[in-house]
Amino acid sequence: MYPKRFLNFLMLFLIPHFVTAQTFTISGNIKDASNGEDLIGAIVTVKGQPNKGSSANTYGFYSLTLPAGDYTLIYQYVGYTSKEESISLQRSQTLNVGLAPTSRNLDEVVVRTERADKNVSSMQMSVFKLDPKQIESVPVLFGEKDIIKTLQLTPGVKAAGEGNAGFYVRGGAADQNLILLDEAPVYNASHMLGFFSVFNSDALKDVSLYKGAIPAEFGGRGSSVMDVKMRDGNNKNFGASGGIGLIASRLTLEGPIVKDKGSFIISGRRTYADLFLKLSSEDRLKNSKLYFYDLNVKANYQLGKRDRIFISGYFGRDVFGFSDVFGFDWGNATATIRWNHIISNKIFSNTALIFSNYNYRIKLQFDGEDITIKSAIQDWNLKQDFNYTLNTNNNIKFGFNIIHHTFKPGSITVGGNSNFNNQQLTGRKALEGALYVQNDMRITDKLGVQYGLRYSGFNFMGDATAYEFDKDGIKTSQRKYKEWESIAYYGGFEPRIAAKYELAATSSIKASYNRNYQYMHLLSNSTTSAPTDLWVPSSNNVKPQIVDQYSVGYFRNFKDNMFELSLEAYYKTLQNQIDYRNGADLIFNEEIEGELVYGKGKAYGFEVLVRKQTGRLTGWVSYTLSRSLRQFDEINNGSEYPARQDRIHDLAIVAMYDLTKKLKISGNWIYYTGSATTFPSGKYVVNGMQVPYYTERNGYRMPDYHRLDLGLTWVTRKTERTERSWNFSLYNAYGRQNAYTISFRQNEDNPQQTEAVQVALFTWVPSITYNFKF
Amino acid sequence: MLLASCEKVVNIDLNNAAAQYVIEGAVYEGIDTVEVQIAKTTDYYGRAPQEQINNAIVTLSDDAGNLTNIPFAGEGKYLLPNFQAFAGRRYDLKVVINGNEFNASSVMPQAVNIDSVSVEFKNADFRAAGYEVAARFTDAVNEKNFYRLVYIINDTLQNTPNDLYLLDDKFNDGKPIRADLFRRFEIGDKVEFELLSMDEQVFDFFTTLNDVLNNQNGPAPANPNSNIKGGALGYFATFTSSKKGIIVN
Repeated sequence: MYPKRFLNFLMLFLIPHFVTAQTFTISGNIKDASNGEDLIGAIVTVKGQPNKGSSANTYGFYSLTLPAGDYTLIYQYVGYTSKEESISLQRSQTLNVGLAPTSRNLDEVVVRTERADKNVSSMQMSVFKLDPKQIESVPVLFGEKDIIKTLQLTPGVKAAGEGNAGFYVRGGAADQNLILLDEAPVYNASHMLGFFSVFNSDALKDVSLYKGAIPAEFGGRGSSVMDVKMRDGNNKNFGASGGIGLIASRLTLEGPIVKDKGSFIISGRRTYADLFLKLSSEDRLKNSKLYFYDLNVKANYQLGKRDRIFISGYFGRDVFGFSDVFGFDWGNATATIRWNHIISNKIFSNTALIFSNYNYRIKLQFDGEDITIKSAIQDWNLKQDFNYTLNTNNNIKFGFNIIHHTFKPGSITVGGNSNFNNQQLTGRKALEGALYVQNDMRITDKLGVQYGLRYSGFNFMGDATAYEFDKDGIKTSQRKYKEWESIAYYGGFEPRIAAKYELAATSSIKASYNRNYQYMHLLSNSTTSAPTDLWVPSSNNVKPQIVDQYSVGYFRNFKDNMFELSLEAYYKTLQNQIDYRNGADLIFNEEIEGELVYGKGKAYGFEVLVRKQTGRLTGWVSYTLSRSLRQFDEINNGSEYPARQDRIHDLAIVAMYDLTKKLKISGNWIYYTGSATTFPSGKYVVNGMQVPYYTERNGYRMPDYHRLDLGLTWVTRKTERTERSWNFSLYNAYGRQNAYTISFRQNEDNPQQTEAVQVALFTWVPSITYNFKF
Repeated sequence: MLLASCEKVVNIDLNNAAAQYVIEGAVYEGIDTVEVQIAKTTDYYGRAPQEQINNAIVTLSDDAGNLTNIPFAGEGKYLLPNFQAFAGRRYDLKVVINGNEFNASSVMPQAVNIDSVSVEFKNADFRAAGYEVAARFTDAVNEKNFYRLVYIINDTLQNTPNDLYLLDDKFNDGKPIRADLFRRFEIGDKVEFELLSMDEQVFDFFTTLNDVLNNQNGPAPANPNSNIKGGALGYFATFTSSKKGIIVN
């Protein structure tokens, strides 16, 4: 008989070349072998053919299609030991892989991320990814690790200011950021009037902030998406971790439900400033309350080979009460059920049902009155996402999203015999939907394109009363609509395109264009974000915001991926921006839409980020040069003016250094030019008082802001499974009095004299936290 | 959470804008003096008193067809004594200065009277023990009412920016209102209240004036909404007034 090899050789010549080789698919899960967490973005490549590969999706699922043959596959994730698997691919198969974390070499910070060169090779630009573990040492106010505050130290992201948890991305407004916690939108991401964010980083696995080139699967806000993913919980062993600090304490419990099949994680945090109030001898203070809490719960279970269920929830509340006279509480609650289903070895499906609620409540009891004021916004959301890995060159995502919004802007309920009246503002409802499709295509080894299209629509409907106004904001008519009756409909296409070209193994250029529609808007009475800020829908009066962004960038890694450099420039146009008439009454106003005026804006800038990811010294330097401008016919006589968030220079230096195996020091230095602001250019007397006289809007600048924060982490005990450490931090180490507000008023002693008065919030703020893990 | 914040006077460089006219005019119900003051804005840090306008032509008319001239009375003031004004009438003010014309209208509302002034002793809490004094009146039902409460303590008019006390009936239409002074008094203190009622445009001026004086951290500070057309700052108001006082004993 002829040898098998000879026959195969003959077949090659005899069979016409146009018969394609048969392909098979390897698919499965990539997880952390020590605790079962999915490794998002872990990559699998073919040894010897580095350009054939795939990566794990949000749920750790990967799919790789290759021609029949023998291969060695390499599974990798930075911070983990790579694994090789030899396979003979004669039919499609499932291959689940667990990667072991590299034993922590205490001389080095281990950054967990999908690939060491992703700065250069990844399709995605304009994104900043944070590993919550990485930020453990970044010193922050009150010692509470805070991902939002840490993201404000990156290019293009500006803090709204002290005492304000809002942030602005690339010149956009504070309501243009979509904040998602395990796919559920979070409406108010701050506690204590902005001093803390709602995210307890002990419970988090991954945080990505998309500032541009937003993938088609996301939509609804104009400027950014902050995608926060919770950990699933250790599915092999029980564990607990937490910390005790001056202001707050936290505790996380996790463990398997059934080993290797399911796990849970519960994470909570509470502040206790008010426990000190209980020590007071003054009765009213004793009965006062001042605290907030966060509770994250999540459970997941693998039902068979193809299905997995997740249930997660977040409950957070701020409570402020003064004796029994005044009470104010507010908070978010979200709940999500998700079902992962592997339809085939190439198609992955995720179905999610999400509930989200944000509300506040004020109670007043004085002089025999018993008044309750409430406001709420509630969403029911159904999402379906498909991920179709067509082949190694094409990864397609498509799906739809429907959200039913219910707005209850305000109700006042009074007790009997009250000197106030019951009132209720008209409720509103809306249906927001989207369809999207996107392909991540590898054209050549060097050139890749991500192109996608999203169609979004918004139906504003009853049961509600809708108003019409003239150009001066005076009501001209009103009409009542029935439940589900459409009052206004808006919709449009949102193209999302990005391209990447690798100039060399260590450098690439990228460009992108995207359009985002935003149908919900946040109305705010003040410059500080307040819990009473109101989310309103687009309507017969309010059009959706439309944001178009173009960006280009150059990316380069140095010294074997130890240093990452990214340079990006962006240009953004904003349509249908909202501002207020002078003296607008935003409080409990049924005809609030009459107080709004509309205009447009533009923002452009240049960002530089240099990041060091490995070694004893890690951190980054971030610099942004940018402008953000607005133009409204009713404001500033129709002339273009700088938006409040227009800050020309913004610099942050973040450094963490391992002094010894047990001692790590860290520091941030932040500098930014002051926000644009309106100061007077004269004064006059009216009603016997000195009054400042204003001319142009935002024609002045607040003083420059800079501060230094220092931190020290001292690890007292560390073994394979346990860890104890102390963290000391000093916020604003050189005590600069940065201006929080500048007001102009008459001198208290000498009313003929007028002066400018600055209020600064924080000078030195030290903090101590004790952290444990076992 | 009650961290001490730091407050200090700072030097901020400000531009000096071109001067604008400032007109302040008020008509009270009944037989009273109509007073109009006209001046100009000055530089913010300037110490000199503002420039007064002495060559304006000021006229007052109403919707019943009357027209009166308000004569110049020195130092930027224009006074018309013994003028009888009626609630429910619309009054128009016209000011002409060097060829610039400014017009304003205001409708005098019906009077709302102070029913009584109450005195209540309160124990010490955050403030020292003492007497709380409040003006009590009943809001007119089924109409929008706008009030300003002026108060004189021991014969001294309280007129710092923090004393601007404005009320409307958005939440308590038709109900009894208790306007408290948020401070404590001692025996022998004399407190006099004047409750002014005004129309919506004048109230809008005073609330936006309050924003400029006391709340410069709203979305954006801007000049108060004036009901004067033509580009002048200030306001023209028609008031009805009710006075009542008490001596704490």
